[in-house]
Amino acid sequence: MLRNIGFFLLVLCLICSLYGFIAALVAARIRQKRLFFSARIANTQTTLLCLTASLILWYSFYVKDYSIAYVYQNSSNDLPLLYLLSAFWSSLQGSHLLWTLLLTIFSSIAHWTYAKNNENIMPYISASLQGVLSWMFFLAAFYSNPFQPLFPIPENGTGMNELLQNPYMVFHPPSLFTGYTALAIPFAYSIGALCKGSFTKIWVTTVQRWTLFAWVALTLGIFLGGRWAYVELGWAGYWAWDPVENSSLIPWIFCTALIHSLMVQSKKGYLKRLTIVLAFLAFFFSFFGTFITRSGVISSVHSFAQSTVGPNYLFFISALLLIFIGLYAFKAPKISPSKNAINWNLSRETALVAAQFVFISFAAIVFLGTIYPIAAETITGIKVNVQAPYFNTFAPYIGLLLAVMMVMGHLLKYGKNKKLTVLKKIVTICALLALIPTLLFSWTGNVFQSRGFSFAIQFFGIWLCFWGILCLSYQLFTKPNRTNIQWKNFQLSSLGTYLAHIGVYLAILGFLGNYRGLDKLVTLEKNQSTEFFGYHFTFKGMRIKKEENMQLFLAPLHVKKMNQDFTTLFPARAKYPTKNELIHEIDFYSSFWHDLYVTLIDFDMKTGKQATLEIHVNPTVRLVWIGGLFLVIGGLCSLLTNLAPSIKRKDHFFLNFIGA
Amino acid sequence: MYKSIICGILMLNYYSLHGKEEQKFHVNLSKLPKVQQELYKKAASGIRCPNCTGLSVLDSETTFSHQIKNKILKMVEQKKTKDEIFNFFTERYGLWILREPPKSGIHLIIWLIPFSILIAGPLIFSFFWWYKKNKLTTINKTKLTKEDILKKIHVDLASLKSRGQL
Repeated sequence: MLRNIGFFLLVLCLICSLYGFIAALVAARIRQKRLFFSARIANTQTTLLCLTASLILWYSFYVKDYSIAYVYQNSSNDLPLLYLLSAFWSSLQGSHLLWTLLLTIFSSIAHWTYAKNNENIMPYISASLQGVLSWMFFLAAFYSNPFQPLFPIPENGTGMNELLQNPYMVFHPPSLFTGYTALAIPFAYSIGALCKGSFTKIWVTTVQRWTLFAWVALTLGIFLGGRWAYVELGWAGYWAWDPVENSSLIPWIFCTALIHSLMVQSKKGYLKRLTIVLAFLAFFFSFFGTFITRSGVISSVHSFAQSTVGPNYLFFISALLLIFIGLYAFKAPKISPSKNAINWNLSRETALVAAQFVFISFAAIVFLGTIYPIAAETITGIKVNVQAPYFNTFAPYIGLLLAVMMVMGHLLKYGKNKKLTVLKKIVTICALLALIPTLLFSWTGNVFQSRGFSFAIQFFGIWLCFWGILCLSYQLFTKPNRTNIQWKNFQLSSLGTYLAHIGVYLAILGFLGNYRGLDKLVTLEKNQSTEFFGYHFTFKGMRIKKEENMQLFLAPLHVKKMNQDFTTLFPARAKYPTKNELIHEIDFYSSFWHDLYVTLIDFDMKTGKQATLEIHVNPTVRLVWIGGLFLVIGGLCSLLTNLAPSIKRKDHFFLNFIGA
Repeated sequence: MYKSIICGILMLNYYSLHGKEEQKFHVNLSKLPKVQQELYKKAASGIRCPNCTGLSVLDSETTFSHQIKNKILKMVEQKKTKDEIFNFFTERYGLWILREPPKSGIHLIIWLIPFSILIAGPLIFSFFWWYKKNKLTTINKTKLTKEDILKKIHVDLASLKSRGQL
């Protein structure tokens, strides 16, 4: 019964958003305010209905209603409560519904919290958002329906994919989808600006707000995904340049480029058309990524089963691309160039423009590598692979360019930079000073024993990162910028930028020190020991443990360092009743300098007295997670700086709430 | 004949029951000199695991990968080079068995494009920047004196008068 209501609500949402789309388009054409308000109500209605449908699906998971095929395929009677709720997005139909739900929520927020100045472009924004929503509801209702019935009603479900039964998987998809959907608002605002032919006064501030929010969510989502891969998959790595990972990276890159482009636009007024194009590309590539994974065009670890949504998605993204190109070709010339002359001297604006080049070329390389297998097969009929080694050939150079760009961007000022002697002095002093932490870091961290990078490249990279950190710290502590939030001696906006860029340097340090690290494969009998990297490992015999919905085969490993008891690790394999295979449950010990990471490859099933273990030492991998944390905190600081004036003035939030 | 079929079925069942965990074919590298160990690792990380997604044979534990690894080990012991190993596998499985496309033929394009972006890009950008800077500064450097400006005004007025627009 609830199932039917859920499906009916999705169809209602489709009708509502279609009406809203058409109403907003007409309101834009005939310039009728009341018709736009009607479209806004339609959007709010859509949000409430979609929320109800999602709550119905969640409730069905909670009561284990197996008359719905989706619940049957993604849960079972013994699934813990947390995973019952996260089963919502564990498969194709539900994750599409989650994406649509988040898009309705954010589009409603965008509809109700616009600035008075933006009101004349709101109909275009409403039309673009509701157009996308109607297509998504069309898919949700007719192609990937989460409320598909199942008869006869079975007793137990087939269970959730074991790899997804991990706390990180509860937060990674929602965070990532929040980022993707929040990117729709800058896209809608660019369409609005294009249709109007110019920018409104407050356009840049509003778009900055949404872009920063989307960026924080995307960064968080990407790092959570990497952390999940590290703790769950058992290969001691966190980024495999998998097609789905790449398709989450490309929107992130364009989002970052958009943030920097908006900075130039707010300060100097140029790069207007680049902002519009970047906003579109960021949004477009978020759908493109979904298309290549859901349609089964590329196989990856994230692939869902082959579904019928492929041609539908292809039609949608082609239509999006064509509409944008058409709009841009006709309307972009109307957008007048900035009043300020473009400054081609060595200055912050030039550094930012150069940074845009680096970002866009990074996105282009990642896109090329992801799309090449399909393109080559279509054109030549030969199947090829483009896997991690290809991307790792170019990523270091991008990292190098970015590291230098960040220093240039921070140390140069807007406008004319006359006294470059100070800059040159700072750069040289920091370069010399940076040698000290580099040597300390490499000595204590044992970072030069990693496979994959030569000694010279590693040393240079670590030196560059410390140079960058020192230069940025100098700039933060000596030259405060004008801003509107002050907290003790720090300006919050410059703190945000500082933290985010330090986060990038820390992450690069993490990547450099640990490139798959060191590993040793060893087979041990009970009470037999082995030595590796200064640690003494003793295998204590297999143990079995029964958990809520699985059986764990543990291999306790006593670890000693210099004859002192250090820790006990429990690498394990898990046996779920729904599958024959044993899933990895690795165990690791994290210290600041390296991770001790052990995988149980094989064990003697009959006696439990022999086990084959793979011991990894991952230097500096902790820095990657710390870097991610810094990125997110920096982004939040900048977001807070952007929101602060309107929180104080209260004019962005409730002015139009009653529908005046 | 029937005996062998039954034997085969029993073996299949035995292995499928225990699945991939029965793999005792772990590659032992300790007998090789260091150079050959490195060659083995390089070769094995360039061949993809045929039934995994995104892993090299070096990192994967499947039966197929172990067979490939054993073959690579034998070839390394026979002092073959990395290219010879890759050619051997490409002949049998096609280009698909490699983790990245070779740097030859039509696949050169996927290597050329990023290199040209990263090399030509900054060069073009710097040239463009230098051109804009120098072109603008030459215009700014032509300082017009007061007399020049007055002369220009007179010339413009005269041309407008002659065209009847004044």
